[in-house]
Amino acid sequence: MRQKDTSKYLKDTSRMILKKISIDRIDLLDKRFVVTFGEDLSRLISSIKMIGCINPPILREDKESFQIISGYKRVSALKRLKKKEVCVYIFYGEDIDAFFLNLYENVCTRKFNEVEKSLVINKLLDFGVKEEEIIERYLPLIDLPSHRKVFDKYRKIVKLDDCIKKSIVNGKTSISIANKLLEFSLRDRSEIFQLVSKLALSSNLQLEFITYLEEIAKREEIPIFKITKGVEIKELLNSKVLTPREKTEKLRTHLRKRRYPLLSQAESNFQNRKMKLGLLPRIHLLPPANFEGEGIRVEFSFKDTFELKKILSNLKEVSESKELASLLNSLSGLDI
Amino acid sequence: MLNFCPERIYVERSVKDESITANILCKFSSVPIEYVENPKILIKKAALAKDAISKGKRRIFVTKYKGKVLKKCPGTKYHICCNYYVLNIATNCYLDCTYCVLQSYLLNNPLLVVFANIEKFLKGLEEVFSRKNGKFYRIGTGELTDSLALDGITNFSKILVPFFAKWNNTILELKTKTDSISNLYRLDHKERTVVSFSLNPQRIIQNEEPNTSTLKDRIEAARICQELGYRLGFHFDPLIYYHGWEEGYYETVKALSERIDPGRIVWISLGALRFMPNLKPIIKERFPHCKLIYEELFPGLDSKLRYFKPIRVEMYRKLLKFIRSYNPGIFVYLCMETREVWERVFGWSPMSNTHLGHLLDERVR
Repeated sequence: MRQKDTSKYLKDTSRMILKKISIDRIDLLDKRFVVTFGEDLSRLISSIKMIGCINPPILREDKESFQIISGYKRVSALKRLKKKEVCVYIFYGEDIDAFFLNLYENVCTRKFNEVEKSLVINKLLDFGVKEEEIIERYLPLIDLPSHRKVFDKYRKIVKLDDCIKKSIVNGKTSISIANKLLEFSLRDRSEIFQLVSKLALSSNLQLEFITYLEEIAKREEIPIFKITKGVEIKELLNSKVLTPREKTEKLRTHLRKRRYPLLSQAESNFQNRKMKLGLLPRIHLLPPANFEGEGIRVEFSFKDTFELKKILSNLKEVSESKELASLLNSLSGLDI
Repeated sequence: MLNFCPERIYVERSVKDESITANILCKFSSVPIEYVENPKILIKKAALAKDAISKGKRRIFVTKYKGKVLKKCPGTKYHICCNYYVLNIATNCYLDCTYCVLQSYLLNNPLLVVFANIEKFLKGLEEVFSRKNGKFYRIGTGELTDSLALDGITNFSKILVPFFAKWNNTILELKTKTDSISNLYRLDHKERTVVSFSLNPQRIIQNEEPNTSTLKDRIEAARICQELGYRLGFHFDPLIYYHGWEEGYYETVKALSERIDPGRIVWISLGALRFMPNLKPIIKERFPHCKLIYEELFPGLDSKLRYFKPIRVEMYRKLLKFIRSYNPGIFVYLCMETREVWERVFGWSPMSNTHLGHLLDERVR
């Protein structure tokens, strides 16, 4: 059992010795055990400047150089500070043991970000830990629910480009959206990401826009980049007159119209006929949702009895008009 | 004839001596069998498995039916239902239609379940039929499975068809997308069984209904059933909207008209594609090339996604026209549609579910 192995080596301090080594011998490119992503070294650098590196990184000897087991940020900071030597623990043991050492040390001292959680899952798989064991034992360890769906979602995150991973860490892209992005080709993914980032959309809007783009692409049998590179969208995004909010609204309308052409046409016909009714601005006429049910809804608001009487009189007038009859007819005869 | 061989058969110990169990085990003597004491553990494991839906379709679970024998077809709010009764002798099916609603209905138990305690069904039915309350029961086994897909394995029809032949206040409808009718050859049915075939243009069958029989084979099976004296039903359900649908359905009705005597057809139903929204991601994942879900589908008053109303009306009207030109006397009805759509297609609508049920009952009384 993995748990037994872990506790055994964690208690076995004889497998580590403290040593001073030259920083140049530490291989920062060897990330076999590293689960750090999105490092911000500024605070750590200031701390080392003030009090030095008081917590020795843990390394493993690998031929001429040393691999980092734990302390990737510390070593990076020391290298940036152009330090020559550092006091480290040298660990003697197998890959899997080295990884667990890193994992458990990190679990105790900090919280993993979402990308790092994905890295942990993937490293565990690389070191031969079974999926079921990861789901049951290690997901809770990194603050994730013990569920296959969660495992599947997080597992894929490492495949994303660094800019999207950074966006996840910054909280601008959710794990669900990140997974959605993975369904697309590299080029489409990059196009979509650029678009949603440029408009700084909320998660719900990101999902809505991505779904529109995806479904339009499927309907029209074209790649997504051909949609986003289209003249209308390009002009809209590059407009210097529109605010980001206006751009978002206009783009949303454009995409919806393209995704649902028949419904959009029916809505537009309804609007045109409604305009001809001469309704007071406080009265709203609403067709059934998606034109599915029967009947039109009327909504109005008023301040006083005078206004109410005015509204009722206007409604009475409209109810006898040819225009309303025509609107009702068009609704029941809604044809394509 | 379709080929199906499960990967594994699970048998709940309490039904190991049932004749249906024996039929299944005899048919698949080389398939690994596992006897199960606690079905809950098996079902939970199957539901949580990776690719549970596909895997479930390849694993038969022979078990005991514990619920109410005869159930009313659930129908949905604001849509006219035909007052049908369902007899669930099995759930799920190895046919793998892209649009199949069972994919989302049976997520809690994705196994291909066969209920082997047929005696319970027969007893329950006998009790209902002998009430002499003047009620007529139209009963189908094709609600949660294909009525005949597994029949060559279970031999249910050999028991059910003669059983229904004994009663005059009921009719059994066997609804299928297969041509698995070999069991029906020598049965004494006394016209108390309607054999129904779901139809779609061959292009749709090829793209969206994997493992099912071809249109030609289904119609040929229907012709044989007609020769055997069975009454026939046809279901254009789900109607699929695609580029070329008009020609596709015209050709389908034409193919039907060339082989089948309209006098033997008791009903034809039309029902446009509809499904709960949670099926959409399942279809997307399991059938990445399926484009059905990218049409203009919107939630109706029962929350199910349906084609935009004008599309449905247009399709129903065209289909009705094709069917009427084949034979004006065939009884055509809409499955799970609103009163408004009925009126726009037929110029009238049933007053209630009971009314439509009564009209259908009259076709087979």
